[in-house]
This record gives sequence, C-alpha cells and structure tokens, in this order.
Amino acid sequence: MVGLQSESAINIADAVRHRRRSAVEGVKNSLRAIEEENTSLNAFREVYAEESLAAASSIDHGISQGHDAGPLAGVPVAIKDNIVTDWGRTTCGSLFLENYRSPFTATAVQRLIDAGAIIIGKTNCDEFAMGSSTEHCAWGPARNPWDPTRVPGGSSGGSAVAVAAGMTPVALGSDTGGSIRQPAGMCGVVGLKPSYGRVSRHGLVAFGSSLDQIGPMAGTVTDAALLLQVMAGHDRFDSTSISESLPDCLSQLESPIDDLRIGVPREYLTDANDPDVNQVFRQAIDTFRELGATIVDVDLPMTDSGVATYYILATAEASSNLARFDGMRYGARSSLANGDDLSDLYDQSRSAGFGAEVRRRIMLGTFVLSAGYYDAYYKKALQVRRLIKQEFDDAFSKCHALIGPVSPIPAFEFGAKADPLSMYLADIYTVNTNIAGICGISVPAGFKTVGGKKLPMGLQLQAQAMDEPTLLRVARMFEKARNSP
Amino acid sequence: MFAISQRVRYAAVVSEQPQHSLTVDHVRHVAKLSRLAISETELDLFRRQLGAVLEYVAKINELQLDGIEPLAHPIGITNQMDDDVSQRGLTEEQVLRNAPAVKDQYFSVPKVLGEGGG
Repeated sequence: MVGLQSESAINIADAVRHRRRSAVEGVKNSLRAIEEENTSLNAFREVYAEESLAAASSIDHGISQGHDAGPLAGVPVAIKDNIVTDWGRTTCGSLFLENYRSPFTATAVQRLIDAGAIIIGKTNCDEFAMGSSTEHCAWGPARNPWDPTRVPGGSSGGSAVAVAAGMTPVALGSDTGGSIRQPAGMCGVVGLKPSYGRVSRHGLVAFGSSLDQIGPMAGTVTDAALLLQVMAGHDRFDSTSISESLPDCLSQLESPIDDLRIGVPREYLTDANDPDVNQVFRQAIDTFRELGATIVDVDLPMTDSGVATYYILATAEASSNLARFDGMRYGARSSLANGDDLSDLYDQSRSAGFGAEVRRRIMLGTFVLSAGYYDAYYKKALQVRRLIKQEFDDAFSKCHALIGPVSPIPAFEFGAKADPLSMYLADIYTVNTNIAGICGISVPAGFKTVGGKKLPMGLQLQAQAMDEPTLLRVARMFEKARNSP
Repeated sequence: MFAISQRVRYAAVVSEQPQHSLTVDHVRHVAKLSRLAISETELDLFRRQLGAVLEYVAKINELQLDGIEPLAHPIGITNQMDDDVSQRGLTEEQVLRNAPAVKDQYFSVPKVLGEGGG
C-alpha cells in the first residue's frame, strides 16, 4: 500500500548477487503485492507470473554456478503496455491491439533483461500514451493509491502506481510531453525523462517520434539512475539514438552541489498554480539554498506557448504514426458489409479500434498538416520549437539545472478534466522539455491534504540535453535533504 | 545561437491567419483524410472539442516568427549508416502471427483494384 514502497532495486540486486536472498523470493514478493493491490488499483494489464518465476530461477541457478548476474540481478520491473516484448501481448491500452503479440522485444527491455532484471508484467496507460490521467484506456482507468477516487496521472499511470504501491521497485514509462514525470509527481515516486536520443525507442510504439523517450520510474533517484545507466546508449535499430555513451551517473550521485547554480524561472511561480504547488516549490528553493547552491532567476517567456506548440507537433506526428494501423497486417479488422470497399473497411476498423481521445488527436494532427493549414499551424509550431530550444540554451548558460512544479495541480478526481483542452493545459510545465529534447526528472517534494487524504506533489528538475549526470546528482541531493529530518 | 534581436517578441494578434470556427463539414473532411468513420452524433461533439483546441493553439500566431528557421527535430543527427551486412529478418510465422486474415503464406486483404476495390 501507500508508503510501503518496495525495497530499492539496488538493494534487491545486491542481496540476490550475494545470495542473501533468492531472485525467486523477490519475484514472489512482487507477485504477492500485485495480487493484493491490483484488483483495486488496475495498474497491471498483464502479469507474467510463470515466465518471471522461471527467469528468477534461472538467475539463481546462474549465481550458484558463479556467474555474474548483472547490476539488476533479480529486480522485478513493470513495463508500460506500449513497449513491446516477444512474449505476452502489447495492447497500448487500445482495443485495436487487443491481441497483438510482438515478434520482437524492445531494446530498452532487452538491456534490462541482459542486466538481470525480471519483467513482471505490463502496465495500464492512456491509449497509445495519449492522455494525462490513465483514464483513456480501453479496459478502465488505473487508480491513485493515495486516493483511489483520483487519477494517478498519465499516460504512464500504471507504472507510477506499480511503484507507489510497492508492487515493483521500478518500472518503465514513456514520455512524449510529460507522461513519465507527471504521473510520478502525482503518485509520489521518481520519474525520469532522458534527453532525446539517450535511450533507444526501438520497440516503443511510436506516438510523436521527435518527442518520445522511454525512461525509468522508481522509488529513489539512485534506482532511476541505475536503470538509465543500463538502458542508455546507441542502438542500431534506432537511428536517432545517440552514439556518445552516458558517463557514470551513479558515482557522481552523492557529490555535494554547492558549486552549482540552480535556475528558478519566473514563469513557473504563478497564481495559476494550486497554492500548495507554489508552497512546495518555494520550500524546494529554500532547500537548495540550504544545500549551498546558488539560486539564480531566469526568464522562460516561451513557457506559455508550449502547450499550443506541443499539441500541434505531437498530434501531427501521431496522425502520421498511427496511419500504420489499417487492420491489414495486424490489429483488429472490422467485417466487410455488402457493398463496402477497402476504404470503408479502413475507416470502420480504425473507428472501432480507437477510443475518442485517439481519434481526436489523429484528426487534429491531420488538420494541422492538411493543405491550407500546414503553414499556419505546423510550420509555425516548428518555428516556435526553435525559439523554445534557444530559450533553454540561454537559460543553461546561466545555470546548471532548472527547478519548478511538475504539474500546476495535484491528482484530480476521475472525470474532472473531461474537456480535452482543460486536460492539455495542465501539461504546461512538462511539454517544453520534450520539444527541446532536454532531460527532466520528477522527484517527490511534498503533499497537499484534501479530505483527509495526502496527495503527493513533485518537483521537476530540468538540465540541458545529455547532462543526466548533473540532473540526477541535483535530484539526489534534493531527495536526500528532504528525507533527512 | 541566435542574436538577441531574433529572440521572441510578443506582438499584437496577427490577423492574417485563418480564424477558427470549425464547421461540421470541416470535421467530415478531416475524418475522411484521417481514415476514420465518425457517427452523426459524434460530429458535433468533435466539432466543438477540436474547434476549442484549434482556437487555443492558434495563439502561437501572436508570436513574431519572421526569419525563424523551423526546427523539426531537437538534436542535429544526420543520416546514420549501418555497415552493409546481411541480417536475419523475421520468420514467416512471426510476420503473419498478428494478421487478421491469412491465405497460404500471404496477408489476405479485400479486393483493392476493379469493382468493389477502394
């Protein structure tokens, strides 16, 4: 349950590697927690009990033979249901892919497995990762363990819930405009969106190809760093994965940050935020002062243009990416009625398979790319994208990391953001990270108490592209300061 | 990095852009381009929802963007070439395992050309 997060991945791996505990025992603990919690929270779409136990047993056997089982030996991992494995199903939360069985495994997942991790199951998400609440799933929403009448955030809501409720120590999410960081913030866990190109996207079902990244969700910054270290690096199956390797993040994590400058964007502290969000943000600024960091004011006037830019770029890319779902080679195909032609079949299969939010976004993206509107919407959004990137470049010439809220609001009640635009507007602090391709992380920062329930709120930190070592170090020092009395 | 003069300046609303009052016919047209069948009852809901989003995103027209080069991708990666070495691909079973309809070792699809074709 809440507050009962699993033991950290780094401790589990250490215990398994040194034979203080078996991998099988760890997997059984995880399966038991899922058994107890999942009925009410709906975090998992599919659980691989047999496969997990077999994999754990094989790791235990290897260790008994003296083999190095890897830095994630026996660590149970949950993965978002839009990341493929060559066993089980990958549905993306969509009826269209209800029975889809991938012929291959995502590179990021394979690297975890090669490092000794055990894939426990796939987690609930908004359909094709389109949403900020995990309400837009064909099989019902995931629930926030802190208050099950509220959303866990999204779209990687199931992965956030799995970690927050102690079902697995770590999980994978994907982040196109905040889908790792926002649910992490709302569920009180750590969520990292790596720099664009840091982790291979091979096997992540594409939503916005120039924005998407796979990243870790974890109980601690150290665990998130450990997973990133294992997954990062060039992959020949993703030509946008960068060739430079990730420096050792873990060894720098505990270094003091009194030599660093922390930027506070004026635009992030506004009356539009929930008052408790601002309160937590102010406390975080004080924490960094106490840590000896230099606080500098920065200006990010493009903050307010991010949501508009994002919902043009992301939907344009989505409309193109989702064109592959035609019901011919895979996915659900409607039956052909008398007199229907191939076009009718495409239209009907897609409409029966896609939920309302996915259809809205495909149509929005198609519209902004269509003749007569391309220049007014898509091309302009690309120009704004350059300005957003320049603005971050300028900011990072003055500071090492930026801090601010993850979301202007804590977790909301189911149905509270049924109007699509109102849901989109709450993405204000996370979308620009993806637009600029920089890295960002959400770290638990405080609570708001509503109706006797504690609702977690996160602090977002952002650093320049490829500077995960600094990002993680700053996040770790904040986490450490907050945890010490 | 661009000079300061090229950084963003907020300007009065530029009115040369299409103003969005989305019609039901717009939605029908976009649905057709999107290969989606939209029911009559959904048409008006989508018209209102999409219209509201389009009206909101049009706010980027308030920015002064003259002379700003579009940026399609956040990192400056150019073509990456693999060594030209043959690799094993997927097996026939793997390729066909998700197909809604299969005939022999082929995907089976409705007639594409001629009468009844799309």
